[in-house]
Amino acid sequence: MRRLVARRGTNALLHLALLTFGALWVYPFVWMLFSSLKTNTEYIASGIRLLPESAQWSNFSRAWRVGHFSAYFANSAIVTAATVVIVVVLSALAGYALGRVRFPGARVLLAAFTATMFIPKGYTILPVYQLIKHLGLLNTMPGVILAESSGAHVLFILLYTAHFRSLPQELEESAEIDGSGFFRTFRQIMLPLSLPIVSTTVIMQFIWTWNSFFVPLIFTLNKPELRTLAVGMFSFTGENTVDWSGMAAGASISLIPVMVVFILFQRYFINGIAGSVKG
Amino acid sequence: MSLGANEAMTVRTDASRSVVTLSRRKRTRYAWAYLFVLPQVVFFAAFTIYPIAMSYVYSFYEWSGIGPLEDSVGWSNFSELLRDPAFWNAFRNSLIYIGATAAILLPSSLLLALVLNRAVFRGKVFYRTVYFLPVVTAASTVGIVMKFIFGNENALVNGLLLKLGLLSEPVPWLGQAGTAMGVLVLVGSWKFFGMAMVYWLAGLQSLPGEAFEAARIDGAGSAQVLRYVTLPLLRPVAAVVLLLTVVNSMHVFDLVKTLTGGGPFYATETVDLYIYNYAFNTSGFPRIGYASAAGIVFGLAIFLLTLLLGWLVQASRERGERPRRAAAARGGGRE
Amino acid sequence: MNKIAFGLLSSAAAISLLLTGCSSEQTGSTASGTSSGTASGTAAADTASGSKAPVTITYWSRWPESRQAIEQTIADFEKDYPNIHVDFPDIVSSQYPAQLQAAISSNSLPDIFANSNAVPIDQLNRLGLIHNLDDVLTDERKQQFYDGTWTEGYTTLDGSVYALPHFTPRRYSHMLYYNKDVLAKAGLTENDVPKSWEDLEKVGEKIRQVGSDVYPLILGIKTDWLVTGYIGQMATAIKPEVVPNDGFNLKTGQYEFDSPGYVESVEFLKKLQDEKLLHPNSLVIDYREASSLFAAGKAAFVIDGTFLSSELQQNNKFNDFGVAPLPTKDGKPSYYAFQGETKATVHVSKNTKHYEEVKLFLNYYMDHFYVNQLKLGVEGSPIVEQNKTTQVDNPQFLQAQDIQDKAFILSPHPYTRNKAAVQVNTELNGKKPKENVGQIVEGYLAGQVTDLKGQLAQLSAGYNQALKESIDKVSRSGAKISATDYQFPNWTPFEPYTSDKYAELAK
Repeated sequence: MRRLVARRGTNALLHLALLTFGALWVYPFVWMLFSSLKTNTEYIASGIRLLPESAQWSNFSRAWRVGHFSAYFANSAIVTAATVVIVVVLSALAGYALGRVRFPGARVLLAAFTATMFIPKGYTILPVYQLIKHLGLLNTMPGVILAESSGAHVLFILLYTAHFRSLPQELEESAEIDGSGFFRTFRQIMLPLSLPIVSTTVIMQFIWTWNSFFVPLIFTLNKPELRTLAVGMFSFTGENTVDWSGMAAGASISLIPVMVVFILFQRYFINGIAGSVKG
Repeated sequence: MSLGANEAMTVRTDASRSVVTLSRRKRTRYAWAYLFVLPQVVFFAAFTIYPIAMSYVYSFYEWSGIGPLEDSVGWSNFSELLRDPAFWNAFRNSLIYIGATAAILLPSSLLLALVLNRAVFRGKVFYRTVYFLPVVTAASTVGIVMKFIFGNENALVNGLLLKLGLLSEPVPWLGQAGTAMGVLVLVGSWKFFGMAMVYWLAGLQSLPGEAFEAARIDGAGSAQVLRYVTLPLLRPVAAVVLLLTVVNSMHVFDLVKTLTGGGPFYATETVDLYIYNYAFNTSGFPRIGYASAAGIVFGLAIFLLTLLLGWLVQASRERGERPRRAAAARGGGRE
Repeated sequence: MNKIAFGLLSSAAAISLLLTGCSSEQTGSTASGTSSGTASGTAAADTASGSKAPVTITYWSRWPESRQAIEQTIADFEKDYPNIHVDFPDIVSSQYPAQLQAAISSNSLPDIFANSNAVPIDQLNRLGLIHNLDDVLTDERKQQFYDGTWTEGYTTLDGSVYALPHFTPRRYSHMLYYNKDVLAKAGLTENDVPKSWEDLEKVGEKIRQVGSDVYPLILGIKTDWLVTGYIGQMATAIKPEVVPNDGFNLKTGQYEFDSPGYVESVEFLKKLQDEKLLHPNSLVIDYREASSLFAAGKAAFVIDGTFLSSELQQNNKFNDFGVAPLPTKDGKPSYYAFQGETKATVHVSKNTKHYEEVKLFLNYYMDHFYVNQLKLGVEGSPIVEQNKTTQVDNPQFLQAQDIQDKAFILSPHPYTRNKAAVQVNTELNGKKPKENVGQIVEGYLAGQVTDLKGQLAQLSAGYNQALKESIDKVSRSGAKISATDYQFPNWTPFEPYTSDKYAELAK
């Protein structure tokens, strides 16, 4: 009994500490939200004061209009969804093969994938650009998606490899006895067991792609209507002019989907990473 | 996860030897395996290897990114780079940033993970979400917001410290060399904190329950359990978290660009930013070749650093393995 | 350790293997990709050309401040020429050089596009990317523009026009903006606006009385190019031989950032900082944050370019301000060198399929866009007459234009004297130090740079070295150019340097 009370005491203290620090974590976001309702001058000059003198809802409508957020929102959604699917499927397939089959060359491949995480890179956007151009996909949605999917998914491959390797051999064997082929075993038995990893990769890729700026900018030069939210945000800064409150409104708008995705998937997220760290 | 990779290297040494006696089953399995990795390999070759290779080619040219590659300059980009004090300054800043964020992040995020891992603790999901918030936010947004929070006059941090009587007059946090780097490190740690915490949490949840039971049966208090069971078992996890933190800290471009712009006077210029200034400087001519050389040299250094870390991972794995094996006597691992 | 090292090394080896094999794999993947790629590519093209009759021309601009004026112009243009549609996409101007780079390397330049320092005009021409505009800019047309507009290396190459100015070429000089409201609170009037540094300090003391968070002067030190500009302009009141545009002494033909002009001007800022007459945030903000704080009444003065008035009026909804010339040491006059450096121009792509339509648009641009922009109070027109005849209802803008006009003085330029200097500049662009005066100012105010003169001297030395190397390289390639082409002994600062002066030198 006494122990229980003591524990309650510590927990209360811990909560206090966590909430205090949590406030530090949340404050910048609150600040951004409130700032998105200020005028440009207030935004810069109001300092600590959070509340705007009068809420400028027009910032949001401006962000929506000037930043072309209505159109860009849809683009962001399409590009992000497609990229997530491509990346997750590709890395799950590769990870499955690498984790479960000791085919010749598997080691070299895995090592090569890993090494590129650390391999020194110079300036790599131009070659990718040329490549997309040769594919005839410049200024098209598939081009953007392809370029977005091109980032190193090494981390994901390693996650899947480690995960699939940790699944017991018997699973596969019994499936085989039941007459299930390689692909069916993967699809119907192994993949459903990998939900945590899938969630992890979905969340991480979602965050990256959603916030990615440079690729969608460069690959939609001649088709600005294909741009994404992250690019739209930059409509507010010009060579000699900045519209901060519009930008804050834009940032607030574009943060929402990421938050939603994270909250939806976060239950699996940690389990997914847990599986991988265990190796 | 790089644990997985290492394991793959060590465990599979015998794979190629058995190729000669391929059974039919094996052959179909191999075929399927190749089919499975093929798309990834194609992607990899096209979008990772090829651009990297091209960046090596660029590094031997004086090239603005426009027109044909024709002005081959041999190693002169590299020698110029190594002689440039600004590069070494950026290099040092990057190392400081990487080291300092790791030093702050690892213990602090572990602490929170330990708390959130307590069996009886309410609001885990809530806290997790709160502390993860900065991770999902674009770094450039974070930079812009933080610039105001760490401003001089009439800004949050100074305002708070003044009110608490810890300061007598506002400090120009971002306007002095030392404090600017400090703020950058703090903000960078703040941003990645949630991720590191999740890694730790995951690691904690992967620890074998048997070890803790055994300790409790032996009558160990929670402090003792932490000291003699949890922490030693966490060692390999620590190595992974460290590795991931370092990889993350290597690329701070968006944050530095928006928060300090590399200033004041290069005090927070990282290699990322140095490269950017050569590849995209608007006031002059882009020097793609030179920027590539800088990327390569810095990458090489980090590569070496990674080797060192890899060694740490391995070493702590070997040390961590013993208590774990002892605890999980029946052994959960395959093979 | 060994295992890991081996693993990583073997992976490195694997990569080199992959690298050598990648060219073949490369073509493989490209080939397999093209089938699907072209399928969707042609599909897209089909829909684009589906409604064939009207012509679309695309225009890339990098000046957000001009957006409204351009949109207005395009709307009118499309009304007058219903079969032509002008596509005017949003451009992220901070990424414009990268964008241009990508467009050039993929051969997808739009019909009309803004220039960029990253790709100088002579390089564009050498790559065969820009269209000759001589038939748009006839001699008659050319005469309407300011003297010196058609300068080799900026708008023309070998006497042919390749670029159309976007703003007045006499842009931008620096000036002092004052917040009337703050002045009134300090019991001051517009007559008290400082003309000299001493005045500024004196007035500053009074302004400090207004409130603890109100300062006389605020600057956005993070915007280094602007700092470089006004320090340079202030410096001309002390040593006018060094032109403010690039810190070049046109008498000696050497860069001279360590001239007393620069050193004293920077030290003056330091003094203001020490006396708490400079807003303490100045060090950590950029110029747009500075001007917003100015608009919010946190400072009485801000130094900025001509383009600030429209920024204050439109983005900050602030109109209670006035404009005055830059204060200088002892109140002596300062100037900005007009050397025909038309920094903001538009080019036409050589590959444009609709040159006739482009021509129509460019003519419309000159007749209407310049005027629209002027009326909106954004920037003056490159055409002299338009500036005189257009009714502009914007006192601050007119005030700023007037000050700017007086600040600009036609000064010598090596380009005009020797065309090979254009090539030298292209070389120099890649070689010159990345550092600039603005950054050194930041370092000095932040306390990292202690030896100001030494640091500036080092910068000059770096520039001079780069210039020497560039001249050498160009003259080795056969062009006749030497260091003396950069010296103008018959130039008197503050006196217009006209073409007869060049002729005099040539003798």
